[in-house]
Amino acid sequence: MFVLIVLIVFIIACGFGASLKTRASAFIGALGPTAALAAAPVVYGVIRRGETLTLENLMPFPFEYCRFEFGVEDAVFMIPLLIVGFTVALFGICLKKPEHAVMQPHFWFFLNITYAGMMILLIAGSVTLYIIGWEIMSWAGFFLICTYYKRKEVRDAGIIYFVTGHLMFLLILIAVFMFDYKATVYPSIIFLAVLAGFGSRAGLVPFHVWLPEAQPAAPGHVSALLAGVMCNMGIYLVWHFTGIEMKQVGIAPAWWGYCLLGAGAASALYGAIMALSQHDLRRLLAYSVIETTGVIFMGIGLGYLAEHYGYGDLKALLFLGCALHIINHAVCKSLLFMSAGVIINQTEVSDMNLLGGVWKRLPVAGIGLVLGCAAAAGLPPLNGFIGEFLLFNGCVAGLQAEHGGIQIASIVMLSVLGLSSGLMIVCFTKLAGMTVMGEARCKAVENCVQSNTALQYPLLILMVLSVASGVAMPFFITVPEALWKLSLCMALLIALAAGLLGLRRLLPGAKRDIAGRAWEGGCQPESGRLQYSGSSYVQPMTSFLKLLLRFRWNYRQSEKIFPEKTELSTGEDDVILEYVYRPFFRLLYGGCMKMRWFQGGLLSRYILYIVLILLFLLVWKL
Amino acid sequence: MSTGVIVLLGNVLTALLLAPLVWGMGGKVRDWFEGRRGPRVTQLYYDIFKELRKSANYSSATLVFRIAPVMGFCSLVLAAGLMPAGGAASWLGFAGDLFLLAALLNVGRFWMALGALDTGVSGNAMGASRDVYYGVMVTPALFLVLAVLAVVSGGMTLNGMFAVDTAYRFGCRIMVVLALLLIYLAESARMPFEDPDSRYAAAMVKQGMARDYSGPEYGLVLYAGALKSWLFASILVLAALPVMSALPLYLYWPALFAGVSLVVMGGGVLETILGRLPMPNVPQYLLLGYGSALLALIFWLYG
Amino acid sequence: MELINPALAVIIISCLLMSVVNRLKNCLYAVAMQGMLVALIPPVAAGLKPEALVLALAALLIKALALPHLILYSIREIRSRREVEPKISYPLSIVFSMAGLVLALWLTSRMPLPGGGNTGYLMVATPLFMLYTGLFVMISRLKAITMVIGFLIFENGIYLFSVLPGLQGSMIPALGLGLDLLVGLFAYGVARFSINRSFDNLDRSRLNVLNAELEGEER
Repeated sequence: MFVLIVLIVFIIACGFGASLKTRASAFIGALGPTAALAAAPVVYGVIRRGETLTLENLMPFPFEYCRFEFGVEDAVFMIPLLIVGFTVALFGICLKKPEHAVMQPHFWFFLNITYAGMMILLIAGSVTLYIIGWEIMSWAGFFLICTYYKRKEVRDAGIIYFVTGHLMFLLILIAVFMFDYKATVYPSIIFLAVLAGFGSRAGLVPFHVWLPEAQPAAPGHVSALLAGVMCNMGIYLVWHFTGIEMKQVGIAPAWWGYCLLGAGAASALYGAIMALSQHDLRRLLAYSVIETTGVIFMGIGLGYLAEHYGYGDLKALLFLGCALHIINHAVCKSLLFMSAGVIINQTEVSDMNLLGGVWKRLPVAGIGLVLGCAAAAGLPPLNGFIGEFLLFNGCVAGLQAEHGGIQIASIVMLSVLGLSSGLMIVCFTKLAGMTVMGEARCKAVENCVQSNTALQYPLLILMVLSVASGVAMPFFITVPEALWKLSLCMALLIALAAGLLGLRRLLPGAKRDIAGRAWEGGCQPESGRLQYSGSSYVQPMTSFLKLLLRFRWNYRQSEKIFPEKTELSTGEDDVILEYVYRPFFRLLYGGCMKMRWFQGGLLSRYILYIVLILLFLLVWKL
Repeated sequence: MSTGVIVLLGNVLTALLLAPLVWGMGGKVRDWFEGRRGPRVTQLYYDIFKELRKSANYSSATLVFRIAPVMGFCSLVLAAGLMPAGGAASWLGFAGDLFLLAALLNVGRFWMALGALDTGVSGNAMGASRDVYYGVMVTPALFLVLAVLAVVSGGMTLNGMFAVDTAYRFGCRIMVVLALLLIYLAESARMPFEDPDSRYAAAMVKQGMARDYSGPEYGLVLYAGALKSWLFASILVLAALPVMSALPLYLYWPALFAGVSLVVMGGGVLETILGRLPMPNVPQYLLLGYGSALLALIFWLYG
Repeated sequence: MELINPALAVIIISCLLMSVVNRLKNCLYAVAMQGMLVALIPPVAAGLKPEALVLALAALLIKALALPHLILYSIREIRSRREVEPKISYPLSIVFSMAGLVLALWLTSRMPLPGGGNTGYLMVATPLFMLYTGLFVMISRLKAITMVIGFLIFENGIYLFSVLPGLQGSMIPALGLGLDLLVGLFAYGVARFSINRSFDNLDRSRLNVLNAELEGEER
């Protein structure tokens, strides 16, 4: 435990050190997350032995003694933090060009502070420490998102993050104060406030609105940190709170499980559906993060129900599935965000309808993106599959339980898993296909060159982890029997594919393989613009889901005989942002503007207000 | 050698050896209905060997284009290896392998779509877009069907699912068979979801994805198509006739071959009767598959 | 004691006059008279002690002579129009003044009075009413200089509170004179910066223009 606390202090020190504008500031800044890897043995030990480290009364705080606690769940969430944090730091160091994208000292400072905040959150054992860690993480995260603060859209996105985050923090504060004093009286309010407050950071619909705005605005590796780790902190707190804190008080009604399940299902479906129609690379990834969060919440909800009705094994299975899903998807989402970051860094283009053919120009980023997509889609043999596998098994086991509620919940979860799995295949093939495959769709991409070769190292690390943690997971944690065979099957798949590829070379015709013009359907497209674009690719799905998506379709048709210039543009906005939040804020703003007369600007009026209030108080008290 | 290994090898070998034959048989039935001679039953074998001997033209595509058919093929081979035979589990079988089966069947779709997009040709991309569109609707149906079978059997292994002594109510079984039939038709690119004989690019779904392949890759694509058809048909047969798992192993594979041929030929009959569905109408039929699986579950739980 | 009550009554009348006088100069005469009485009452009520007399003299000089002259000087400096410009019409002002008097009397009846029965009713009501009048003048007039006058009345009221038995030895009178200094500063400031109306450029009509500009910018 001391190791962890020392590490936190060291990281904060690195942050401050990095903020000095010296030449070595980048290295000092990166030293923090790198040194944090020293926590790995502690984490491993905790998971392996299933123990909980506690420490009390270290520093007497103003309000209560503080208590540190580091158990198995905390260790599970620490793993993505260590991995992703390190690769983010590495990425930041390797980002040398172009000039305006290089990481300034303030970035390193806030990176270290965010990292420290997250570590505090994970080793916290008392409510005050949770809130402290959460707020440090939120604030420093805001500044991280606004690293490129000179651009207006980055600032706007940062403001949305900030406003949503602090609205939700208000709810969290309500929950915390009520928990301290009135836990048994209003448990439902506490639960809902916790779900909304922490769930918002995790990406739970309908509180997720900051995620699709903030992800494209942040630099590539910061998006990875946000998606891979910060969202998990939200999940961690909801999990911790409903599972542990309320259990200590002794309240755990069943409808909470249904609520978690419903919120998770809504998020999964919403994320998957909205991800379909995005054309910005990182917005699509942001929505896929929302979908992952939804799946995890469904798992937590079903596990909670299982525990409530006394099915301990089911709960263990589901929670193991959630934990593995979280770790694996943190890795593959980070890989995706960082590859996207490399691509956007080199080409300065982030619109999928303008990208294409990136594999030929930026091979490592291309491979990273494709592997990341394959992993995130939840397909064997990569690591994203394991979590889904366990969750699916949990659903089937839930169907076999005798309780009607659990059965219905399992049916819902199963259907949503299947639907979102299919939708994610669409989204990720679109992402990888449009960005990496085919030909370039604009000059900027055609002419881009690989100038930042060092950027491939963080990507390589994550790629290796992606593949390896699928196959080698059982060696590190004690898992049920089934997972050994699963890893064997996945390894077998990789071996078969590799073997076939090798055999292919030995075939008689292999020496005469060429890479010439293909048939291409008989037409010869001269420009990459004639390819399918992202919107075309998902057009069957979007027309099917027209009602939900509110997809904008602007087409100026030419009515004349001879063709003339015409235009088609498509667009998509976040449905909840546009139809719930913005109208609400517009109403609020309108109401406030109407109340403007209240602030007349005349001194006499203000004196009148004071007098009236004083008089009122005087009369009241008499 | 343990039973598991025999089952594994037997399943893989029968699939690899007999799938092209069965594919040819389905084609023959259709040709007979349409009053023409058509290619011979074993034509697919010749096609595959021919392609394997050729060299390939990769156009301007990348590694993914070359990997895609391999991944699709290997995942199907592994899926075939997972299936049980005659009441005995495969050596690779484990608790929960039904989800691995479902996922493996999706792997090919993902990689083939990527490969199609890689060529940069719009026709291929159109095929890919439609294929993943079908996939969105077929995947939940498949998951739910497998879940129904698992619940009915009380366990989570493929072996248990198809076992003979499950108290399988009739209504439940009919729904499961209907769902599996629709899934089979969609996944094997049969009518009413796709016309396997069509040459019209704008009408292709799975074929559209494969148009730019040549040489051994194309051979693998053809082979994978036949394997997929075999696999889905065998799932259908095993679900419809649990008695198959009571057969001793030396009778099981011939019986499987007979059953699968029946299914594929029946599919051929259906193809001649039904026309191709227009694209906007496809979802309701695939959702019908999902609905049948759901009804099956409800029948089982509350019937 | 018998002298005080008429004096208090005159003070009340002078406050009531505030709401009706039209010309600024007359306002100032009323305020000066008020100041004189306010300065003289405490020594009479408390007994003629030397320090009280010194204080009274200082207060007299400041409240009745220095400050009104300063304010007059400001009025001439800023060349303002010589009349009070109220926001509320005169009849309404009278109503509000009367209401204020009633309120002050009512509050006095409800308050626990210090010193038992010795304290007259009026002795508490008058300062309260003066406070009210001062605030009322500040609120309902548009000119900056009338605000200064209002503040002066307000401060006179505070000074008068020192008449009460419990507060006689306290610092209130001295602090009150400090507040007078503040009033003087206000008056000087008005003269120096030519503040004709209270914050000219934040006049109501101008504020509407500002409003429209802001809204135009948002769209």
